[in-house]
Amino acid sequence: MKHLYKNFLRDRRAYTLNVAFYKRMVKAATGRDAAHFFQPAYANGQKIYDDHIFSTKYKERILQVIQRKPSSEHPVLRARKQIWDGQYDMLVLTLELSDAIKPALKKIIKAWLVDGTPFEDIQALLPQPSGVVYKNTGPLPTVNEDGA
Amino acid sequence: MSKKKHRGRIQAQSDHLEESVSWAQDSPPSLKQGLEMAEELKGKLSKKELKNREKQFKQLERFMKNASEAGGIYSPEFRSFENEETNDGTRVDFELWAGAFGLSVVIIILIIFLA
Repeated sequence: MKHLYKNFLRDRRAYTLNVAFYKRMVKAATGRDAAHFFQPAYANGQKIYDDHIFSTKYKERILQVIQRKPSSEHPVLRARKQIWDGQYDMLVLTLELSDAIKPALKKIIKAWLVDGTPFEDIQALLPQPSGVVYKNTGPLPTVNEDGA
Repeated sequence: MSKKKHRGRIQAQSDHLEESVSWAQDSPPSLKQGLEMAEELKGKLSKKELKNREKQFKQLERFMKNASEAGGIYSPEFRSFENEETNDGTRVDFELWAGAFGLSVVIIILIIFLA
C-alpha cells in the first residue's frame, strides 16, 4: 500500500497538490469545478494548513475530508454523518490517503454528492474490515429557527 | 424573528454523548467568549467524558487562539477534533454557521461602521 501526498502537513507544495487531487476527484464526479465550502483561510487571508484539507458542497450536501498523517499499514477510511446548521447533510470522511482507498473514495464521493445515496448505504462502500463506521447526526441546533 | 448575524456552536460528541454550547448574537464572539464557552461545555461533561477529550479541547482552544491571532475567521467554518483512540466518534467540534468568530477589534469597528 502506498500513501499519497504523505508529507502534506510539512510541505505546502504537497498540500496544494493534495487539495488539487480532491478537487479533480470531485470534478470527475460532478462535472463542475469544486470550490471549498468551509473557509480555507483566516480573516487576514492567511491560509490554514491542517488536516481539514478539503470540503465542498453540491446538491445541498456537504463533504468534509479530514486527512490524517499516514501512520497505518492498513487502509484507513471512516465516515460519519452530521447535520450542518440544521439544514444540510454533511459526510465527514476521516482517512489516511493511499492508493488502497482511492477506488472507494471515488465511489463514495460520487454516491454522496451526485447520487444522493443515503448514509446507511455509504457504509457498504467503505473498505472492510478496517473501515470503521460510526453514525452521529448530532444534537439539533437550538438557535436556528428564531436566533434565540 | 430574524436570525442573528453570528451563529455557531461547540459540541462534545460521541455515539453516547451530545452536549453543546451555542451562540447567536449580533457581534462576533471574541476569543475570550470562545474560551469561556469551551469551559462551559467542559462543565457539562462527566470526569470520564472530559478525560476522553482533554487533548481535543486543547486542540479546539489552540484553533480558536490561532484564528484570533490571524484576525479571526469567517463562516462557514468547521473543525472536528477527534479522539482516534476510541471507536465511538469521541470528539469536540467547532461549527461557525454564520458571521464570524474572534475578529480583531479593528475589523469589528469597520463592520459596525459599514453596516
